[in-house]
Amino acid sequence: MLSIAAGAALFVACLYGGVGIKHYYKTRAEYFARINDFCNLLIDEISNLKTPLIKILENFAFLKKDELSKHITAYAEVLSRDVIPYEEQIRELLSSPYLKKEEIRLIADFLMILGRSRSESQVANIKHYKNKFEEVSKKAGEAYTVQGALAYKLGILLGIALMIIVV
Amino acid sequence: MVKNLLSKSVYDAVNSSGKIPERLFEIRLRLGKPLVVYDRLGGTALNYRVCERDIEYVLNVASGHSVYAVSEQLTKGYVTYRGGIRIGVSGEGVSEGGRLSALKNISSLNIRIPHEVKGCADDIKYLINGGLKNILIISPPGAGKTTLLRELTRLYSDKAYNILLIDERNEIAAATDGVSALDAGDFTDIMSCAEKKTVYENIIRSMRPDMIVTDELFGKEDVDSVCDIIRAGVCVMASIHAYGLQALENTVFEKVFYVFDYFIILERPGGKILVTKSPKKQI
Repeated sequence: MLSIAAGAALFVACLYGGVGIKHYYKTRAEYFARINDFCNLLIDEISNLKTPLIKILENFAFLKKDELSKHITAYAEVLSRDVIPYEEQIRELLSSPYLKKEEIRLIADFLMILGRSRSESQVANIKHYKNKFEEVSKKAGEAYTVQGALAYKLGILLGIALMIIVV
Repeated sequence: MVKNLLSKSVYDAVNSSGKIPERLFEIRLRLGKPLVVYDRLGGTALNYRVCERDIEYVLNVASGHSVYAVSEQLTKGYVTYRGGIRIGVSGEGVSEGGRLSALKNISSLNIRIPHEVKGCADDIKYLINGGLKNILIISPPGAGKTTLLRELTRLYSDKAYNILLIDERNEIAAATDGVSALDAGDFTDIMSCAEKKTVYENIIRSMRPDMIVTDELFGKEDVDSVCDIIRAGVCVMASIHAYGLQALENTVFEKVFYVFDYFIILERPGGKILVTKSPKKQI
């Protein structure tokens, strides 16, 4: 009876691990897919409507509650206090288990350029970063499809294998 | 308010000099040059060299982190910040089709901090007590013309006259989100950040003011508009940059002698206020 319970627990643990890894890849893929939407919104709002940056940030974050919205909200809050954060401060705001160090640096650099120049150069800069994000997004999407699915399946298989061994 | 606008190093430099940033009249930042502050006693160069980051900081904060949204204002040479703070800018102009389309490499900023001085018009209160009049305040820059204009507006407003204040650069009433930070009176309607001509043409009929107040007449177009309004029966109180009445003679501004009733002349901050009747208009 105890061995069945232990086997079931191991199965659940492995499954949970697989789901966790899949979730990690999914969150990353969604984060970078959505940052592209964010770039499109910025280009539209800055070039056509000249909407103030904080308003754009708030509107975007309001649409969906996810990791990117969390970061954007935190950044908007800093700006609305009339503070210009240093790069290190922005990196701190962006710290997340779902992002790698070089990605945090890239996003921080991107946020740093927002609102600091005329609309033409703003749009050009945003497009430049959008291209970079698209590359990361593509890789993150592929990783989710391949490694995320693999981790999920491996979690199930490992769980079953451990359960058989224990039982 | 001023603290938010300045980078920490600039703010610390001002503070350590013994000056109180909020009491200053002007803070001048010139790239690579010493920071200069002006108070009642005059200008003082501080032991701090302004760097590019300091200038960027001010522009970013003043524009609400959206420099792209104020680029048109920048081409006019200024950007406004909360509380009526006006930041004059100069740099490298970019022309397109014969007109200034953008300003780049901004190298100088002049942060002007408004001060509300209630009672500064007490000596000339008799003008207000005598009812509505067309009044032109003449003074060189920095002599307190806007402060006096605000005070006179408040005094007229307190007498229950409907005043339409055209605050083109948002430094008379310093309205933020429709609420004025500086007291321009309870009977004053404020139209801020709009060009004088647009307001003259569109708003006057709908607001039906007893008096229009506006700052800094500049060029023939402004003068012509003001003359038209006075001829239409609405009183105007305005200001103009000049050293005395003579500076206006034989210029495009000469028309003002025929439409304004009184001229108030300021020569320096806190100096004597001189009131004179129009030499050419029969009152």
